[in-house]
Amino acid sequence: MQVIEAEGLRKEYRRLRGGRTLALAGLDLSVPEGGVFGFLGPNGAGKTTTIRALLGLVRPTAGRCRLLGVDTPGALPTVIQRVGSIVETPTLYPRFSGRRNLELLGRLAGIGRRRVSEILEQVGLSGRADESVKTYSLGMKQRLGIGAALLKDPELLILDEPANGLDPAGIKEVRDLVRRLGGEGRTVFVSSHQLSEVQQMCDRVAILSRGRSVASGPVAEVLARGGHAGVVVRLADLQAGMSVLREAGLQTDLDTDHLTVIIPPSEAARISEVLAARGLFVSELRAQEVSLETVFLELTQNRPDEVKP
Amino acid sequence: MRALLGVEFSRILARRVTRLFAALAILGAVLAGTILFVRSHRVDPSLNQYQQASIAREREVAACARGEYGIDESQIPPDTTLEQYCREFAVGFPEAPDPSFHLSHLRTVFIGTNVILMLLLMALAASFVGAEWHAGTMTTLLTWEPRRLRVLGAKLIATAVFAFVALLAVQALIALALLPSAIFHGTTSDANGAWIRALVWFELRAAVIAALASTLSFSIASIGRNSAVAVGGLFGYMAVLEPIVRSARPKWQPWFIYDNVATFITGHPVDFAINGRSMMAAGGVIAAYTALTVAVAMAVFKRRDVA
Repeated sequence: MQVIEAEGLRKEYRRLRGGRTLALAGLDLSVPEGGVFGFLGPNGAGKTTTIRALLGLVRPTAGRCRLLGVDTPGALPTVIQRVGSIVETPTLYPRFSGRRNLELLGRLAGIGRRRVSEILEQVGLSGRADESVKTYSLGMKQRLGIGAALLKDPELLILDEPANGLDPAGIKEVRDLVRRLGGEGRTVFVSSHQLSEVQQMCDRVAILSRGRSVASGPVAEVLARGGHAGVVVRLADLQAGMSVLREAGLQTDLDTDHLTVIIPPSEAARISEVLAARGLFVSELRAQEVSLETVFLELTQNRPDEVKP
Repeated sequence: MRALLGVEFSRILARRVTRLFAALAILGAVLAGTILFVRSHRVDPSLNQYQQASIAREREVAACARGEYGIDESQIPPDTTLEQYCREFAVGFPEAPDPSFHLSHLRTVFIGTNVILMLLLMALAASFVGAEWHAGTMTTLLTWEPRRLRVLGAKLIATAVFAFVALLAVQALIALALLPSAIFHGTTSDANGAWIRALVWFELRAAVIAALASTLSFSIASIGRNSAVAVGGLFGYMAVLEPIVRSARPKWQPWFIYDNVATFITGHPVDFAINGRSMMAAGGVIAAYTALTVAVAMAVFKRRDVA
């Protein structure tokens, strides 16, 4: 079952002084049930607009979106109890305590005080739960927002930049929490621009650029789309090695202390064969690590303007 | 809906501006009561000047009550007897100074405080929704309850109920604060059962108008997503636009907010009469204006992008 689906989702915002801003340009998205799904994109790519459309906060100009199998926003009330969410910076009533805020939200869904206490404990706020939210740091507010999203014990969690404002320890806590929640059989949909975090915690990702999805699938598959994947070669004489490999028709680049050969890692044996035939022996031969960041930049930069408002 | 209403009432009561309103109301009532108590005192019956003026006035009231003033029944507000009407409106007060406080003067006090309270409650109502938009808490709420009409409906109901109860509570507080002056430094003798009934109805109608005015203010603030839009717009309309239109188009009087509000609250004594419009019809006009504004606010809120 797909817990989130978007088909041809388009959103235009009217500007006050005329004209339109295109936020989503026919987005297609499909998020399967279970695990952690990363939703990546540069600023202004349309991540938050997508989340707002899924949660019925903005009305799409065209296209449709579905959440837990129902059309939104029309049938959203039937599934909202199964969805927890944070949209951008979570905003709660600043003069109420963290506990009071969660209790008030909980009342809307028939959730009792015991569950509120559990959640406050879970997000590490039980010590300051009775202080007003206006005294909280940004990180604490973020954790309270995550707590609010978890309050309903949701099947689907939609978290928009959940690590915003958190210190490294807080980021790790959120990462561990998200992985744990994803491991419990829930679906966690996380939008983020912290690529290393996403790579560490997500099973699948979608990369958004200019209002469209430019890559989507399991993390390994998306990484494989990095066009510069290759093999790192170390040997004593780098110049000689580069000449030999180029003569053999292999695209080779010289880096400071190693060569990078653009060849699928599965064909790495050919490198050692070519070099050994000319009396050159490798000291290291390994597949080049492709980061999500590399793929992300490749897919989101230097793309022609596909989207014309 | 009950849960939403509960949340809205909790929020309204916990707001700093609500607490400030309550504190100011209590302080104002206590101050007014204390000042009145200090400054008022019973008249010495031996003071010939006052005695004669009072006797002369009582004669006039009696003549008026016998029908000698030719007051038409339609001029008398509901729940008010002819004698009460004569005493409170038709016959002038004695020209001799009267430093004692008559409990029957409470109605005059309430006319003034009603206006102040209504303006304050309208500003409060606008801030209830303006602050939500300003802080961004509307987004959080809508991710819990996406049925927007329910959300706005609950907020509107909570605001209207708050205004209705707050006006009555503050007026009761004022009455309580002024009561010792009437008991110890004045008189309660002219405040009989009929007077109390008339006063209660008068204040209930004022509370209804406070609720409608708050709803109107809330709706405008909701459309503009800003408290200042509603406060500025409504005050500007009442203080500037309506008087200008009134002088330019006097025949439109039956449709002006001020005239209909005054007719509804006061039960149309002479000064506020709108020809051919009953008290209930005047209330209906205000209710219709409010309903129209609420409908627009609902329609806008239902379709609006919450960003």
